[in-house]
Formats: sequence, C-alpha cells, structure tokens
Amino acid sequence: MNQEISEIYTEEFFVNMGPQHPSTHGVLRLLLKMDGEVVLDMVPHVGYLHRSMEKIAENRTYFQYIPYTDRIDYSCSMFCNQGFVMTVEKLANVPVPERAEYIRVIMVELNRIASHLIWLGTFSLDLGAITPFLYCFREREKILDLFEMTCGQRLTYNYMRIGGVSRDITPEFIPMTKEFVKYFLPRVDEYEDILTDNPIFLSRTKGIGILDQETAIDNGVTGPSLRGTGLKWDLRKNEPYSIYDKFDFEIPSGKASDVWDRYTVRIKEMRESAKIVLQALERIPEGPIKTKTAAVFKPPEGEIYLRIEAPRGEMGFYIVSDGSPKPYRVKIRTGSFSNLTVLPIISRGWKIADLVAIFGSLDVVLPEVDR
Amino acid sequence: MFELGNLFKNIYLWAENLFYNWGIPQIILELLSMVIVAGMIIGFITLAVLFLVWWERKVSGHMQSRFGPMRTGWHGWLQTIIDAIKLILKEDTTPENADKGGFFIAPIIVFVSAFMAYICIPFGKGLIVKDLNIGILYIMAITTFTVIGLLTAGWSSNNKYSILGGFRSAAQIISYEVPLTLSVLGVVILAQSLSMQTITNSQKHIWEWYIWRQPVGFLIYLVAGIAEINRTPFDIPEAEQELVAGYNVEYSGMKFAMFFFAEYTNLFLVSAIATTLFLGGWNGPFLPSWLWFFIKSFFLVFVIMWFKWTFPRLRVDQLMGFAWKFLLPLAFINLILTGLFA
Amino acid sequence: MSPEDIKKIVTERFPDKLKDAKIIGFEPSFIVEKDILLEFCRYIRDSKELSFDLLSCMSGADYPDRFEVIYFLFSFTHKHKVSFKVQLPKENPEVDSLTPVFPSANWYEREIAELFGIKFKNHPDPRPLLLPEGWDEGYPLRKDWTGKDFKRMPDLK
Repeated sequence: MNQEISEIYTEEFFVNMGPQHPSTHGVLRLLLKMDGEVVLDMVPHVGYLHRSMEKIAENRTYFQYIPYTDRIDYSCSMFCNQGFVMTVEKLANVPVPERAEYIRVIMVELNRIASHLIWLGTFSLDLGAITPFLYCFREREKILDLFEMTCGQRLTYNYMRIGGVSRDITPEFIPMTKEFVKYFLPRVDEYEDILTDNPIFLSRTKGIGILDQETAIDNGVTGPSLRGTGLKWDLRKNEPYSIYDKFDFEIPSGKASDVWDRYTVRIKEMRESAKIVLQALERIPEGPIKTKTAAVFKPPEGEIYLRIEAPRGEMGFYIVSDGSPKPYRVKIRTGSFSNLTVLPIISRGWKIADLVAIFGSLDVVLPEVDR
Repeated sequence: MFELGNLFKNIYLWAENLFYNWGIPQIILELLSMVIVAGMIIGFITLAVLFLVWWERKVSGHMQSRFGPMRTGWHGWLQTIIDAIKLILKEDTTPENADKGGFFIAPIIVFVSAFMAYICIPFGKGLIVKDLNIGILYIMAITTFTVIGLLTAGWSSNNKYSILGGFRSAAQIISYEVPLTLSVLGVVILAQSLSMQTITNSQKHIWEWYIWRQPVGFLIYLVAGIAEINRTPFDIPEAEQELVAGYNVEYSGMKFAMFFFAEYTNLFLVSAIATTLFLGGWNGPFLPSWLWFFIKSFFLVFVIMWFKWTFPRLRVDQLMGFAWKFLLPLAFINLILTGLFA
Repeated sequence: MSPEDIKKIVTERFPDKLKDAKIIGFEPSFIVEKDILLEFCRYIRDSKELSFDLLSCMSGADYPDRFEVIYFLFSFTHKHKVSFKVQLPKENPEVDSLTPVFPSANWYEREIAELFGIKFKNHPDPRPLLLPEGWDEGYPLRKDWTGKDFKRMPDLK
C-alpha cells in the first residue's frame, strides 16, 4: 500500500507570481516551479522599475542629483539623501556644522521608524492579520506630519544639501517629536501584544526560512536580515559615521535566523531608533545649518566609496569625479539588491504560504533593486 | 406580548385557504403556499445579510481606528444596498475555456445549501417553519453540500489558482465537519432529542443552558464553525495575499454576489445554531422570544467578526493538523465524558 | 589590520602584478592584472590573516581609453577592507567571473555585462537582469551611447 502511494505520479508545474500581485511589494515577477504546494525552485525576474539612475547622474550636477536620490528607495529617502551627500562631502572635504549633523540624525532615525512601520504593516497583512496595518499607518502619519512641518514633503524629501540641511527645524518641532516618541513607545508594545506571542503567528514564522550566517555572508546580505542570523554587525556602531559615536544604543540580533528572528530584530530596532531620537533632541546645539559651498560646486578629482546603514541593508555610493560640476560615474549599492538573491536559496522546499512570509521578512523593496 | 406565535404555519394555512377559495387545485395550492413561506424566509435572510454586511464593515472599521462607511445614508446604512445594485449592474463574464454548466451552477449550489438549513431554525416560541424531529441532523447534512459547490466553482473556472483554492477549501470543510458534528452530539445526548424545538425547550432558565454543561463542546463548535464558513483565521480558500481570492477569482457580477451572500448566510446560520444549542435559543425574560434569539445570535456574530480582524491566518497544513490532531481527539473525549456522566 | 599591513602582505605574495590606486574610504586599493584575478581573490578570501568574506559591491566604469571593473571587499572577522580594480581594453573587454569565489558577484556581473558590454567568462547564468527582454539598442552606461531622446543638460563653467 505504501509503495503504491509513493508511486503516484505528481507533475511539477510552473506558476507565475506575476508582476501584479498583492504580496510582492512592488513589481517583481517570480517564476515558481512547484510540486503541489511545495516550492521546488524559483527564478526572480526584476527590471520592471529600472529608471537608469546611474546614467542620469552623469548628466546632472551634484546639487541637481539630490532629488533623484530620494527616489532610489522612497520609503527611506532621508537615508538615500544622507548617503549621497555624505559621500560628496568626504570627497570634497566639506565640513558639516554640528547642528546640521544632529538634525540629520533625528530625521534619519525617524525615517527608519517610518520604514519599519511600513514593513510591519505589510508583513502582518501578508500573513492575514489585517488590523496592524492600519495601526502602523496611523503612527506613520504622525511622523509624516513632522517631516511635512520641516521640509514640506511627506514622502520624497530632498532635504539634505552638500554641507548641511536645507531648512532649519521650527521651534514646535522639538516638543512635538518628544511627544511623538512618548506616544510611540507603548504602541510598539501593543503590536508585540497582537503578534509576537500569538500561537498562530508563531506557527507561521518560527522555524521557517532559515538563513544561516555563511549563506548570508556569501551572498552579500546585510542589514536586519544579517543581524537576524546572529551576527551583531551595524555600521552605526562598528564603523561610526556622522555623529553616531555620541549616542548610546544597542544592536539587536537574532539566534535561530528564521522569519520570527528577523521580525523581532526590526521591532527592537524601532525602539532603539526612538531612543536615539530622544537623546539627539536633548543635546542639539545652536548654530548654522549649512556650510557655504561654491555656487558651481566642483569636487577635486578622485574616487570614493562610502556606506551607511539603511533600514534594508547597507547603502553605498561609489562616486568617480573628474573635477567637473557633474559626476563622472555614480554607482549605488543597495541592500535589497543582494537580499533578493538569497530568496531562491532559502525558500526551496517550503510551501507557497511560507514563501510569502519569507519574502516579507527579507523586506525587499523593488525600486532599490532596479534603481 | 409581541409574540408572533407560529407565524409560518399561520401564513401557510391562510394562503391555502385563500387559494382554495379561488378554486385552485389541491397540489398547486400546496406548492404555492410553500412558495410563499419560502419567500418569507428568503426575504428575512436578505434583510439579515444586508444588515450583517454593513455591520461587519462598521465593526472592522472601528477596530482599526477608522470609521467605515459614512456617506451613504446615516453612518452608511445604505452601503450594502448600493453595493448589491452595483454587483447586479456589473457585466457577468464567463472565462472562455470555462465549463459553462459548472460555472453557472456552482454559486447556486452554495447558496441553496445554506438557505435550506433555515427551515429548521427556531426563531422564537413556535416560530419555526417545520420542526423536523431530526432537526439538527438535517441541518448538518444539508450544509455539507457547500463542498460540492466550491469544488465545482474551482474546477470550472479553468484557472490554476481557482483549482488550488477549490481543493484547499474542500479539504478544509470536510476535515472540520467531524469535530463539528461530534460537538453537537454532546448536546443531543443531554437533550435526548434531535429536534431543535425540543432542545430549546429544555433550556428554559439560564442555569439550564447547555453551555455550562458543555463548555468544551461550545468552543469546539465555535472554532469548527468558523472553519466551515471559511473565515479568518481559516480563510485559506480566499487568502487574498496568496492566491488572490482562490476559487471565486473568475466570478463577477451577480454570481459573485451569490457567493458573498452565501458566506454571510452561513455566518448567521452558524451563530443561530450555536445560540439554539448552547445559549438557550429564544428563552429569556421580559422581552419577546424572537428578540432574545436575535440578541444572542448577533452577539455571537460579533465575536466571530472580532476573530476575523485580530488573528493572522493559518497555513493549510497547520489547519489540517489542527483539525485532525487536536480538535478531533478533544471532541471524542468530550463525547465520552458526556456519555458517562449525563 | 591597518591598510599598510594588508598592502605589505598582498604585494609580497603577488609581486609586480599590483599597482596602487586611490579610492577614498576603502583603503588599501590596488589595480590588479586581470590574469591573476581569480587567484588573487581566492588568496585574500582563504588566507587566515586577511579572510575577506563579504563582496560588498562591484561596479563598472567607462573611461576614454579603458573599461574598469571595481571590487569592494570586507572582512567580518578582522573588520578591514580592501578594494581593487581591473583595467580592460576597449575592444572586446573580457574578464573572469568571480562567482566561484564569491557567489554574491552573480547579479552584479549580470548587471555590468548588460549595461557595459563587458563579458564575464564562466558566468553560470549570463542573462540580462534589468533591461527588458529583447533589448538590442546597445550598452546604455557607456559614455558614447545615446538613446533615442537623449538630451545633454547644459554644462556649467
């Protein structure tokens, strides 16, 4: 009897999780080879969102390119701004005043919280818990209000400039942000209440999609996905840039490197970011917000590669300058590009429902992959 | 006061009388009177479903710190009617390679099997269409027809995703039938009868409600009932995020409306049966009996809606494991203990 | 380890095959001859004192007289960095693929191949990555490529 059952002929078939799909967080086409419900192999097809940002960079001045950097990853555009601007400043040796650095850190950490809130909402939506999505976006509205007060934009900010920031923060910003952080920290506990110890959530995420450290490093995975494997590596602590060495925060990491660990790492990161924002608000000094640069900004000849810790991984900018007002070559290295390569490897053998959970936990945003 | 008595029987007799006076032959007159009573039930179900759809959107909205429909009438009470009009006006498409017969009949099977169970539900003292002496057995048997409807819908849509959805839902419903029926058997042992009115009549006071004597049975029934009607956390067949609406992905217009209708009909049915079996049916002081029935049923409907908007959903094999490895042994133990100590 | 120590170890191992380059932020940087590329990468990955395990980024660049492929590596064990580039001639640019040594080079090389026209030998999966299927209008990131509606923005003095 057992022999008869194992000889039942099952056919493998190809399913297209097409460019339009509610769970693929952007336009991604996954070609899945499946046997029943189990995923045997997968080929991702990207490139639907390719906007040739690197070619455009060769045709714009450094100052004109800053709004383009917003759109590399629009859910964390302050990071993309900061990465580009920091790289150019280091190349041209432009000093940044203290107040501008503090403002940058506050904006960037608030943006990290906003980006992780989007991730949390869509991740729980993929698993079927529809309500946290709306709670996360309610919190995010408050952050976007703060951003709108400062730079007038809610999503793509174009806020940082070479040598500082473009506008000073208004006097109401500091008490409003403090109130927001006070309001926000108990909310994170609320989300954990709904999800973290829920048996249904645990059975959907624990032990699923294990990414061991060696595979992660071999494939270039960085960011919270790498920290979920147990490696405590964060560019803000290990290679401090800007003024991160002045703040006191921890780096969360996971143990079992499954979906649940990556989830807890990001939740803890939200709390740490809130802590950093509070510390920065206490210590922000007075002063100018931007050093004056030449009207036609020409950095010296040379090459530079600098990386920052964005919510999805490392974001690096490689800029080659030939002394003219326009860059010669700009290469943008994003976290999601490398994180996506590891998806076929860790989703083999899991069911299609797990694939959705694994993909959600890697936090891939397609504009970063395609640029 | 305000008691409606056996409204259905009275209307049936009045209609028979009327047609007899008009000189219509006996067989046709019986048929017509039955049609009139059936029309009353359909009318009632339609009203209930209209209310439930609106209520679900309001409840889910308030749980998610937003309002829900607000513009169509006072707090959006006309929303369902407008949605129904929209669905009726929509183009009724059939995929080119679909199995036309199956495609047409699947929503009808699903809706009819839910509707036919209402014949045995006691809405109030004497307010039951036909008090069959095998009442609860009849209901359990009739509601199983839904599986055939879902499988037909999945298969005849000629679409990989629909077939997957159809298989999943059939597996789910069949698996959860067993604990459902076993939990009902506990009440039947205590009440010594299968008839719905007898079960209700034996719970006249609040301390006689079967929920106190069968707490585990009540929970098993509630969980298995939610699984039967395909609601979160068991809504794999309609998991939007994975298979984009599963078995009814190719349906549009009125056929889709029938699936939607059937889901809410089933929802009210599960709550009504749970009320009758465990919460004392229409018994209660001061207020008329049918009002008590509705209060208890709608309370259970609210609890089921609450579950939908709080929990994530289970994976398909976890769902099966839960039914076979956990609920089924629990239901057996419950039945054995009831039999020993009744 | 400090950049000077890394430079000393590497130049001892491969004399006359490396030249100095300057990439700010990722010192030390070298220009490596393309024949010893695979051997060089295997050495810096496997050697105990260097053990570079993360290929952080790979980029191509188009200069008037040559193509370049630039690699950035990082080590988690020793927390030091290195970067090196390979210079290729303008006609028929070819170089060995790094996928046997660093699997993360896979998608980077696909992108550089389709955007610059540089061929990577022994690449396991040489399909275009970002450009649409059936693209036959040249290699976009080369400096001499102009698309159908290309307009050069005004140069500033």
